[in-house]
Amino acid sequence: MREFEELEKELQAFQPKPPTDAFTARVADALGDSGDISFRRVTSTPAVKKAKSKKLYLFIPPALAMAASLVWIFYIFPSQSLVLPKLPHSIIPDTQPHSPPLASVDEDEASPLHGVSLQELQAHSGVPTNGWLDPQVQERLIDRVDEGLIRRPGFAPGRQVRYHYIDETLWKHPTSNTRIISTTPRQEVLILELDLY
Amino acid sequence: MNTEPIWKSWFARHGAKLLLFARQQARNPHDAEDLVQEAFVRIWRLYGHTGEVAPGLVYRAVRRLAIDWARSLDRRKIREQKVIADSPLHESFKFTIEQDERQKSILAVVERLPPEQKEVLTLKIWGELTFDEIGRTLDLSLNTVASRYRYALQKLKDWLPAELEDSPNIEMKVAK
Repeated sequence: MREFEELEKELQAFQPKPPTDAFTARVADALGDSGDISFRRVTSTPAVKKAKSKKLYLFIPPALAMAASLVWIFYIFPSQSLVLPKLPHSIIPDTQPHSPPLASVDEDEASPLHGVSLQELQAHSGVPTNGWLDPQVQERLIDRVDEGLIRRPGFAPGRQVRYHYIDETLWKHPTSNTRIISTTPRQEVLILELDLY
Repeated sequence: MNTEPIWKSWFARHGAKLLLFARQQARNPHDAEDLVQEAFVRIWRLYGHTGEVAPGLVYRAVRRLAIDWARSLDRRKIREQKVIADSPLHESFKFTIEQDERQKSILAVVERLPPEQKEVLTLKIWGELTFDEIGRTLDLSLNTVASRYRYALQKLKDWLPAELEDSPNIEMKVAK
């Protein structure tokens, strides 16, 4: 379709009007909690980081050259002839086997993480570990799609209906006024048997 | 480091295109917004947890909803709505001063296309969907989509010179 290339380019240059802020706010209201399921991180200074990483490449070749020359120096001159003074006896590392580490990991059986106590978990996550109410589970029907008649070998024909649900689980912590909502989409397929006359 | 819901950036990227498509499926701009909202919310609730939703799914939902809504409207309401319908296509686009008149003329020609060709053209040019995706959105075969697109471009090419001649102060620059 080369003969239309210019026309296509001209049409593509026309920009549709973006949604108004009021409309976007309306969509946000309609989405409710479902809109907050997935997030992305927004960095404020991505360009600076890139520049730094580029600069690092500049130092790699001289560093490699220096490392190579050091290896050659140690290879050509034996270690005795170097100007390095002999280490005093006191700082020569001993060859005794290492003693067991002084600190051992305290295991908190109630904690879901190995080596991290419940208190530490609470301090680091900022989420309380006690005092949660029983979770409330709710099933919401989103859509019902009639997929029409289906044939089943050996059985009477049926009408296949697909149900789309959202399973919502809500955990509440009244003391800290914290809520955690988990939403999971689910589908159910129901086959309604049809009578043949 | 801030966080923002993914749907917002998704909607900023595809919202304008969806609204444009919905404008052709609905009878007025308000219905178009309702269609996009309903379709987007439904699809995002189903698949939003994955963090990314294929735009084709939402286009398809917009179209199916539009068909359902059209069926449910009674004749009286349709007649009433026809009065306030048909706001010109160019109102759905951004304008710059220098291309204002020419753009209006070209979009006026697009508006004259048969609806089935116009929707294919819209999805291809401004929706940036592939022929395959358009076929799945409109429940059409790949060949039908490709031929409708070609017919649409051919008509635009044929009708554009006359339309531009009617509008004074427009540089004649029609693809040959």
